[in-house]
Amino acid sequence: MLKFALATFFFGFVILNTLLAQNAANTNTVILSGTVTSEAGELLNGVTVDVKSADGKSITNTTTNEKGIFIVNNLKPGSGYNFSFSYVGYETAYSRSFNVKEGIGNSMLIRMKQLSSNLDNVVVTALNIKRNPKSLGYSIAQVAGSKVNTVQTPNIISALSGKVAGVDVGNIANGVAGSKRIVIRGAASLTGSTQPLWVVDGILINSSVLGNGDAFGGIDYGDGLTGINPDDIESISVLKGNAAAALYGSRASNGVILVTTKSGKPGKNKMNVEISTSLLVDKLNDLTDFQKEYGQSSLISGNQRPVNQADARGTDSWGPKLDGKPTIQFDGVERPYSNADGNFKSFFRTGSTVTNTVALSGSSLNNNYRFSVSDLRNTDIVPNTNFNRTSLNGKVASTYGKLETEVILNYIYEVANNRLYTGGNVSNIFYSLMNMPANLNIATLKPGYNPDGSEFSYADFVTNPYFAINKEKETDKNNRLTGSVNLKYQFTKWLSARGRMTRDYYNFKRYSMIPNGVLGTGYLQGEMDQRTRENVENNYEFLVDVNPGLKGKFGISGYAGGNINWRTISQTSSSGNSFVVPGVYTFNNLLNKLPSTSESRQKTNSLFGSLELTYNKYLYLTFTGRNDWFSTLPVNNNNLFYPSAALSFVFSDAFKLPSWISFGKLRTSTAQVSGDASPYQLDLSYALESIQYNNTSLQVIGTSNIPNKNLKPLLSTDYEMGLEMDFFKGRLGFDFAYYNRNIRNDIAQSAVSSASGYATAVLNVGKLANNGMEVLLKGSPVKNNYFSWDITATFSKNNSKVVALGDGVKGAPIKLSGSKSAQVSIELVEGLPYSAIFGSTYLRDAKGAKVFNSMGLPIANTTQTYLGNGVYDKLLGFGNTFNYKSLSLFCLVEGKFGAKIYSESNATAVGNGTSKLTLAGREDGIVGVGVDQTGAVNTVKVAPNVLNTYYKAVANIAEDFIYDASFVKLREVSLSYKFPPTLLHKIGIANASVAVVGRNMLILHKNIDNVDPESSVNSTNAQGIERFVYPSTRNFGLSIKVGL
Amino acid sequence: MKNKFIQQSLLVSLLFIVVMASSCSKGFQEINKSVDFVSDPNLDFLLPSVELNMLDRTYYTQGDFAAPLVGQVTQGKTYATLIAPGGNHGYHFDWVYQNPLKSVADLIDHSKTDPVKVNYLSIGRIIRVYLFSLLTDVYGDVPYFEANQGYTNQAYFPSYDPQQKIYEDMFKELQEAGDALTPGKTVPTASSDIVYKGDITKWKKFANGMMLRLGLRIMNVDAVNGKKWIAQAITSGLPAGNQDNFIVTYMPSSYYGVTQNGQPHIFIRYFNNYRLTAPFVDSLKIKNDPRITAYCMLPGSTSAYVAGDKTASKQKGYPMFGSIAETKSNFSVGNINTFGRYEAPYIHLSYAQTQFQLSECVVRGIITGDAKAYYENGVRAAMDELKIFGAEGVITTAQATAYLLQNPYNPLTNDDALQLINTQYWIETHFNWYETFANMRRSGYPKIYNQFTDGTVLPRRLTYPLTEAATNPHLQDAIKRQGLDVVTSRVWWDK
Repeated sequence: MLKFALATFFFGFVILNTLLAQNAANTNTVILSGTVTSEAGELLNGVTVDVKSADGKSITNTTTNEKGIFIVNNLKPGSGYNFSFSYVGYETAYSRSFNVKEGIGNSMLIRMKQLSSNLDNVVVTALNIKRNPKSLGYSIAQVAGSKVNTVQTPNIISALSGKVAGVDVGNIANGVAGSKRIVIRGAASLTGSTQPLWVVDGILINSSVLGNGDAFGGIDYGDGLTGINPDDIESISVLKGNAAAALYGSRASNGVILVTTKSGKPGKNKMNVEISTSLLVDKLNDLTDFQKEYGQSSLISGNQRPVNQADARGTDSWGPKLDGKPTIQFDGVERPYSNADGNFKSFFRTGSTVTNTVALSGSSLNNNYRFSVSDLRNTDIVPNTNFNRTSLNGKVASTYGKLETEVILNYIYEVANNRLYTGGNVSNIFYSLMNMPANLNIATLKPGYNPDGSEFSYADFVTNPYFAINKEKETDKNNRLTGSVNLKYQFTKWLSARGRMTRDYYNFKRYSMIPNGVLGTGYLQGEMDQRTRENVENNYEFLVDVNPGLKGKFGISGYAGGNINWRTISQTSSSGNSFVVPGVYTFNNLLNKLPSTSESRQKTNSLFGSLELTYNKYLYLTFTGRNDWFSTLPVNNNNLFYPSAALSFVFSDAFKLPSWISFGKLRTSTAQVSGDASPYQLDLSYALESIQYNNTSLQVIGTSNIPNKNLKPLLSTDYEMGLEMDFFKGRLGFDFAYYNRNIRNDIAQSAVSSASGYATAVLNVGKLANNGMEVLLKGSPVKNNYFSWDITATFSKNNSKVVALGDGVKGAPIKLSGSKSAQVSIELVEGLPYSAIFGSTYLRDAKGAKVFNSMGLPIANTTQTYLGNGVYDKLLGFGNTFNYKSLSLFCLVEGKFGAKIYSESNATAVGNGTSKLTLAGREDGIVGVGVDQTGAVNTVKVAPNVLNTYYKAVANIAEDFIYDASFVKLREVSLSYKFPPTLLHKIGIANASVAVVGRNMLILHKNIDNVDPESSVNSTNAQGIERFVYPSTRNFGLSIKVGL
Repeated sequence: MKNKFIQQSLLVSLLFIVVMASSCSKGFQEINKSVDFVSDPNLDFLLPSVELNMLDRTYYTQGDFAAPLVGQVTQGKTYATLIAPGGNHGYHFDWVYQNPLKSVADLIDHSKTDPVKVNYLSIGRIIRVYLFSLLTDVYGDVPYFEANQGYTNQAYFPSYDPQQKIYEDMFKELQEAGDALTPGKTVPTASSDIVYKGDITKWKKFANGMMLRLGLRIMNVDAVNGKKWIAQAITSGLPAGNQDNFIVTYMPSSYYGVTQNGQPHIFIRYFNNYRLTAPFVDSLKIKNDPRITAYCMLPGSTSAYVAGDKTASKQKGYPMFGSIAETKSNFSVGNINTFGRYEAPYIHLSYAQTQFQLSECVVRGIITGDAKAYYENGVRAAMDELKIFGAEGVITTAQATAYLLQNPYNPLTNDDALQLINTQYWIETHFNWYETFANMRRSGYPKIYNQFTDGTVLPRRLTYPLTEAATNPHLQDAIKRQGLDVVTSRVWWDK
């Protein structure tokens, strides 16, 4: 009865209201129209427009059409209305107390801001499951696509530099297409990979380096990440801790980088076209400052000018003061003995990278799609060196009733020509350039070869750079096809199942050739290295998702699934040396053919699940569990279950806090992740040599590493705590995290005695600890309608420690790498941080004075000393964004601190007399400050004619060449301008922007002479050695984006 | 309807989980079996790689340290640099354990249980002794009994054994393995045994040649056993001519790898760097030794390793230590047509060596016989054996006779005799510098260090690799026994 009465009353009320409204409409109403765009000027289709009266009564609601236009009828002139605009992925916009005028012409333009704060956003978490960031009990960093595609870099890793707290990006000096290094929260493996897992749209991407050099030389063939086109990136999520990454299992023990590419935007039957062009110019940043006062001489008794052609060969600059007198040179020609200068300028050219991307996207009711085609053309600062990439990407998502499908297909074709040899000496053009005595003019080395094609050079075992770039050849091609098919069936509102198949396939072919006539290499008749690597990684995933929603204050949801991961790598090599017919550089023309093939296969099966409990939308508790079965481990010991738990407490929602606190969240998590070994490490196996002896096959034990039948999975355990707070409606905020990660049973290649027959043994011995903290500070000191200033600062500190390297073994250090001079090695040593640099030091007496021998030369200690570590422990990123109307200025300053680097370039420069440090004693000789071997003050003078012996002795001691590798750089600058949409719409353009950009514009602080502190020889675990790598460059250019 | 869905989905996921769990490791063993490698070795493929690898393919220790210290080849390094511990002194240690010894230990493991393969086993044991003798003579105490069991016994850090114990066992091994060689049992094929083509009588002679070499080596510290094993070696049968020499022939190509003799690399690759020394060139020149043209030539160019003047009188050796102002183009290098080739054969033990050793045994009264006859046999064989290095190595009988006439064996004292004999041994072991080094320390001849007055003396050993100090705690036992890990500490037999 009561129900009926109420219903009748309610019904009546509604009718009455409607009648009143009708009535009002009939009397003197006006129409208002408006346009809603994004900040970038894109017309937003489907924005919900809510209209309320001044007293809060709901008047009407509508949505914008594909032109971003909405129309509201029946508004009363003179009244104030409150408009609100809501749209997925954008901050809700308001227009309060909008006064409607009489007549026509009532219009408004609304620009909606894309969600950047993490308050109400969604983030992409493991397995591409979108979650509300509020609910996450662990740290996950989001980087917007615009942060990596305004100032573009060929390798996406470089674009992350300085932008995410706790992420150490190594901009290795191996050329634009070379591999870069990225380590999240410190190295998590002793001898295994420390690189995070890359997942692009759910597709696991193999980013292993395709060939690395080291101090002894080599070519870096990149890591395949150059294939990711920044223009396609919507956002990047960095999963730092184990809890965030646990669902990826073993591959995630170094963290995960999730790249989400752009999709077709919601909109009705309109095709969007995005065109972007980026041009970046690379200019040599010559940091060298060598002595230009004394010239070349290879005489044993230095100090005299060369008198014949033989004496005029060599990298030694121990000759007399440059005086302009005609003096014979390496080619037998007499030239003035004077500073040639400008060799670097004349050798290097201006490089450039041009990227063009065209993307088509759109959506209809049940479909959305995006296709893009992109082309990158790079020319290096070294002549004849270049890198090109062409990619095609397609993404189509459809809904058929309860079935949702998504198909992604990417094809990437990359070609690199003449990647350069770095490190080492022969073949390395940088070695040659950096060691040129001051009086040699590089023009005299042109064209690098004699009329018969054979090389000539100014010194033995020093490659003529022009020979290298004109006669030697390197080219590689990578064909990569990645794709996935995703099917999701929504049984009910709360139950769905998802099946997914992903595949990453690439075929990498490389060819390098050194022709006959080369000098200084092992094969004077030339050599050739030709390889093909085929990589396949398939994943088959199945997942059931249950999400019944809130039941009162409590919520429960979860999913469970399984995954099969299958990886194969097959390689063929057709290499050899000594061309029979000069000038024919094919495999068939080789005198010694050394073909070989190899294949590696591994499989991991997994079951996993996640359970999320919610209380009152402010307390979230998430549990995950995963069990992996590894094919690379012994069958009886090949699986491990590992759990994670994460708690998020949004206390700003739980308690009433002062109004200036807009958001507060406390989070904590703990998790384990397991890992396996590389394939074929369990049993001894025999390999056949690639060459036969008089038709007899030669067999050897195929490894210098002792296999281990008793391996078990490694285990990484971490916990983290974090606090996120925003104040003053988001004007100020911070995110603080503390983490602690321990790896035990790490499967490491431990050093063993050679007398065992092997160099290393694969053992579950490693214990490694990392702990540290990360701070993200955000602030908007100024924010008004015309001008805003946003600051984002990140700081992180990581403490790494090698805890144990063996049980009974007494922790024999693991040598990761060494300098070519043998004066320095990079080691893992118990009790020391990761990548410890050990090097030779001066022999000193009890008081610390250097000891000199009877000839006045410094003496080195026979054992090497710990001199610092090669990985940075403190990272700083400081980004400022200034917006004034349509102008936006972004600048990023990056600093890295706490690492040392051994500079072999500087040591060599002292040893051969090009360094400015060697000017002391040129005229009068030098007396080393210290004591002699009896303990008395050293008085032995090293005469000018044997000064080289003194400096060569100094160069052979590492101590003086260990530099603080800390630096501060102005990493990125961009000034962008967005053209006003009103103007653009007239010419049929939805949005357009142009930016002037710069990268690595300034080195604000460094402590190392002649080279860039970021000159590590490679991107491997062993950091801390520099030796004749790429010089640093400054990049600047233009970026244009147009949307139709 | 709703319940049905729940049931179905639960059933499906349960089924999935069950199927996954039960088959999670299915086929894993097969997947983790490499397709590029095999698990079982073929002895006929192992043996030739062992024989090729008996010679350290690198020059890091032999060419860079042993050769200059015995005064035959120099790259201009100072004495102080050469004797400094560490560096590549220890490279040979790593090489022998990780390459030939590793394979030979494996060859022994795979033949010892099968009586049919007794000849493979014996050959393996003999080669193993040869390799260990190289190690212990260079370094002193080394891991022996526990060595090369890294995989089989997880012996990652084997103990160091006293050299005396190693010698005892090496003699025993030579005797047992030589005796165990059995005609009629399977022998390696001619293509797999690239040294003796499966001729086990030659292997036996080689074992006895080693026994003689090692017996003489310990005469100064253990005359009783030394004499015993020398007598045993002679009774069992020594190499009877150059046809019994232990020679590994390498393949003709410029590829620097397993089928190549790595030692000439110093001349071929570093043509402006390494030079024959004055003591070596002079010892040939002074006596009008016909071998001088087989050993030496002047470099023909500064930009490549090409033949220059081979005239005997123009050959010139570089000072043993340090460098001088005179251009290196004036000094002799190895002859490009004999020793200076990657395919140059390598003599591990020769008939000539045993003849010189027998000659010394007679001089010292260890055996009876005609010292002069042994000496002359040795010289003739040493000259004749060079024919394996090609046409420019051929020395005629007439040339050898002329040499012996011009340089007759008529010593006034035993010391004179020992000097004559061991100087010939020193020349004959050219490129076999570990043996040269061991014999110089044992015999004290030739006295090429007499020219120095500044404390430059013949080192008594090379130092262990630095990695041993860093990894193997047992190294300290060896240092306690034989003294600091420096070149002045003496090995057991060097007293």
